[in-house]
Amino acid sequence: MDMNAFDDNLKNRAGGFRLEPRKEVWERVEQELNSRKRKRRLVWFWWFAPFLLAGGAVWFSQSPSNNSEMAAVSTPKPITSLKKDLELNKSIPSEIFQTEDNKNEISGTTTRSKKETTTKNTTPFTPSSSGKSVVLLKRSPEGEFPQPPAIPTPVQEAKNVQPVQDSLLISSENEPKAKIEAIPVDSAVTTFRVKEGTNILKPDTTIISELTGVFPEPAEAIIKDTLTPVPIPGKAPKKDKKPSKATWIVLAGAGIHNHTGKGITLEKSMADYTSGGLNNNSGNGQGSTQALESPEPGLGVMLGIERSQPFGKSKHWSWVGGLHYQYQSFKVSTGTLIDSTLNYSTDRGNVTAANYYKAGNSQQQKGSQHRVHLLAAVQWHMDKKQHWTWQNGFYGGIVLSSDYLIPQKFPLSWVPSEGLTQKGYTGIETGFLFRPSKWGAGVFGQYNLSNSLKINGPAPQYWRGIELRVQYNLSSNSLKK
Amino acid sequence: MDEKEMLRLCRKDDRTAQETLYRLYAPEMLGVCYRYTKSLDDAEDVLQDGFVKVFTQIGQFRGDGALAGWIRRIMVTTAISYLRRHNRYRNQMDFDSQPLHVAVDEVATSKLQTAELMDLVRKLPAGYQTVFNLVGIEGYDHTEVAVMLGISTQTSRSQYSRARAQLMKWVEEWDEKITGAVSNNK
Repeated sequence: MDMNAFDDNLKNRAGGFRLEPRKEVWERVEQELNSRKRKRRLVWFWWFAPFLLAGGAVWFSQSPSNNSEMAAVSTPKPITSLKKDLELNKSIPSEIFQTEDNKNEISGTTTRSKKETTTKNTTPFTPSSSGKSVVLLKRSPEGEFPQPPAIPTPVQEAKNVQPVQDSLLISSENEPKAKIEAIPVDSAVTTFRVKEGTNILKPDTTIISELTGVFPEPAEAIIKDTLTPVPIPGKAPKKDKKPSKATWIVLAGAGIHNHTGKGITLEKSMADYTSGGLNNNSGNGQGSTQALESPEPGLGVMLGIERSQPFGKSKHWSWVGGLHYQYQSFKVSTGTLIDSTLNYSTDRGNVTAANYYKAGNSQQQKGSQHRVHLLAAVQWHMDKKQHWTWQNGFYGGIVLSSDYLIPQKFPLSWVPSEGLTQKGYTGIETGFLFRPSKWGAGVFGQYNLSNSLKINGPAPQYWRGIELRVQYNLSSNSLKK
Repeated sequence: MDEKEMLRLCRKDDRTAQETLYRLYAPEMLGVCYRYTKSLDDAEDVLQDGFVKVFTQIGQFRGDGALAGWIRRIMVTTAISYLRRHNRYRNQMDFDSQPLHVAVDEVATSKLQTAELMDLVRKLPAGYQTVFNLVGIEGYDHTEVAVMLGISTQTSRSQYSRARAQLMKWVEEWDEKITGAVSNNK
């Protein structure tokens, strides 16, 4: 057989070869596509899940009802049911249920729909080992409380057992007060649970211990052994607060600061300065100079208080909020005179501006600033003992006061003036901290994003600095030794 | 619904359009899958995986070539990865050590229609079958096949020529049987 002919023949035949797939194949393809679509949605969900979770946690922690929930083990909606009952029982005097130690008596009733007769157990329980309370459980007549639809549990489904609806009624003698609904896990046993702190009777009457009951036949015997309700007057005690991991820190530091950036505009009414022999002869009495900054480092000190709080249980991350006070000195020399037509008249005669500066005069701004700002920072603890920390933060605050002086060697002496505008400022800082004990030290770099140093004009002045800080931890639980 | 419209809707995950596309190409593609596998069930598994890939990656089809060709290529790559993934094929995909051994009796019993010819191809060990399908039927050259299967071009060549020789031998045997049967009847 010719090889090429064989190849061609085979190729042609294979190309036209068709088989009809079974119907199920498309169904499987469709299923797979649908599941992928669900997965994609799930991916989106997981993206947002942390936010939902955080929101839920905040909501739950702020919800006043989170301490007054009741849950029946196998009942899907016990809380609403109980709440309804509680609404009905608001008028019941709380004294009935406020009991004294060793003399408490609360009646509980179980309703079992399968039962046609009502059994009453009037024997009080013996006090529990804590010696706090006694509970009576009684079966109430069928139909006293409307029963929610029974939902078979997995156990029941497996055993093909019809669910039995039970209720525990907390009551005083014959008057039912509240009902705890429960679905038994099988035909003979009912399990229910009342959460600690659940408000059963009235808002001011609570059960403080977890109430768990198992109802086999006969109910009374087991209830005696397993129920340990502790009805007490007054509100449920608050849960013990977890010891806070937050730490308070005081700081003190010293640094060198430098003003830098664009030039500052000095617009002064020279006509005002007639004292000391300086007069402005520029016609309209107004003159202006453009002063270019000559950076001269200033000194500063700082004091601060900060609070550090770990992000959850993290040993590596925490956030810091703080209040800082900084005192800074500054000095700016100026050099260039823009308005060359400006002439100065002194008591020694008229001089041009050029000659004025040539004679060695200069304008300088000196002053100090008091700044207070709030700091928000994130700390990354490089080791689990949190001895080494890298901190990055953002601050913003206001200049509380500022002043400056313009020294003019000739012909004036120091002339106090008002020129610095009081402004807010923002900035960022980053720094490393070493904190082997309650004492720690760090070096921080700061950079102002907006300016506080302006001299009668809009020109921005940037400020940066390096600070050495010493800090002391006021809290006792700060360090992981 | 023309092909452009169908593609547009498929990209939007429109199930009806996807089903239309599936109905249009599934028979041809099952023919492709059938040649690479040993059973119809496996072929349908490959078809299913392949179409899921087609629908999830249809955004990448730029329309440069024929849609059928693009789908066929996906089916072929899906089939190859399916063969690699499943134990019953994996052993036969060892290209260097697999001997070419097939029971001739089985071949002789088939009628050499197209389906039977395809059955002949499927009688080859999976490695030979794959190489033969890729080179002899799909038209890939040995370099491409070597890349696709992770083998050398030399292996691809030798596997192909041996598979082809074997197939030709089976076809001739089948012809002789048919011819003999006819002359005996006369």
